[in-house]
Amino acid sequence: MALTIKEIGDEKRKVWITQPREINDTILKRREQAFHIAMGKLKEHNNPETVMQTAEAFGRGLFSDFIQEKPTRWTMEEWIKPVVEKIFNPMGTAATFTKITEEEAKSVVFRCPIQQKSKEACSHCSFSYGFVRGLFRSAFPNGEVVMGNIMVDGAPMCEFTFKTNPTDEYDMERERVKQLFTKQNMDEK
Amino acid sequence: MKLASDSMAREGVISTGIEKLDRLLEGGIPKGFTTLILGSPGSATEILVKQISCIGNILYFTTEESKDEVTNTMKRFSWKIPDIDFVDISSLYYENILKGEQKRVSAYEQRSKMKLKELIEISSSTVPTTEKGQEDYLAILSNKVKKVPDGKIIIVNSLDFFLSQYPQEEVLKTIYAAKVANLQSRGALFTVMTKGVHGDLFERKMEGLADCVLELDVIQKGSAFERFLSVKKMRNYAKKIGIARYAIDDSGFVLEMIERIM
Repeated sequence: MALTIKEIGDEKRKVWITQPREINDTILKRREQAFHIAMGKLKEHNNPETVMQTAEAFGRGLFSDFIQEKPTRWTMEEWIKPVVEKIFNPMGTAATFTKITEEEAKSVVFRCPIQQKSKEACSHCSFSYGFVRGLFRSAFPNGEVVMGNIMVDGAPMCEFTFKTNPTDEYDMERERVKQLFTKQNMDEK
Repeated sequence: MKLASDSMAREGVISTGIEKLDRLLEGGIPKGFTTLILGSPGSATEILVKQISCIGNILYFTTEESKDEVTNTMKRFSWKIPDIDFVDISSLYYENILKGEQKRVSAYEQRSKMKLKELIEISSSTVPTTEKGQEDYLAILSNKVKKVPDGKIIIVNSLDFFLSQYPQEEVLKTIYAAKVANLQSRGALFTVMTKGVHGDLFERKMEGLADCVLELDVIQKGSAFERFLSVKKMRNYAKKIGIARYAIDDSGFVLEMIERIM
């Protein structure tokens, strides 16, 4: 089976591109169901923490079910390849990695599973972050995912930075993302 | 709250404190049993476990609500609040978040008061520091359950929190250890989990581990909601498998129309 992650460029400027594959309905349905449940819990408890926790648990569940080989000590590349191939791409998500090192990987998400136009866009953002964090911390328990925005060809894109050994300044990244989308949600209302 | 009648309370069985649920279970939950309560949002699993905890002699792990929120709900239903040992993981978790946030804010505040020269010096040498190392919530669960006295009823509400923080395999191992401890102490272990988030495979593993599985469903019919509680599994008591429609009123869980499947 051909790898869906392809390295292009030269030594100075290298990127790793991935292509969405045939959509796996099972994963998509699971995501939809998990998001629906997270929204139900949000309604019930009125606490954005439940969205994040449900998303992280969902990410961990997917990792457990779809990533068959689990080395005791992960490397960044060992994590990226199967996760992109078995989870991201079958969800219809293309991610381009602009950096892959042992300590850090950066990815720009071109077709994000986030539904930007949805009324629940902020909850989707929060859910997507939590889901990716759950996937990452399944392999790197002390790792952190930093969510940012960058402009690519004049369009805003979502950038995830995966840090295997984050410094203290990222300790509250999860809270920052949660609060950011909670605030945006309130502003939208 | 209606308590199960004495005639129903049988040797070797623990009453759930809900008369009709006990009837559905033909007396209650056998001592030493691990019960998995699976529910979807809106099915009121948290009300069910709170009502069950009113039978007393409880070790209650709360992860989504603080101890006060749990007792306030009990008061709202006018249930008599018995002897409950709370392990308030929810408050502990938020306390840790708050501590980290305060340290982060104070580090930035401190930096904002510095002169430019000092700021350059400090920024070239360090980053704001926050306390490292989180509480191991799964270890708290494991340690508390290990020391549980005989006959104690353990409630874990809910597993969702642990599954968001730890790999599924680790959570499963901990629950298995809790099951063994509960078997020895001849009490009852109730674990709550949301259905549909953690994957079919994990749900099946949990159902396999549990001696009893109660599933709570809520179905929308037009503008109304119908709620169903089914006893999906009862180890060695196949006869007890059944389903009942339920509602939540001022007194708590009210089971209607019990139907036996086997």
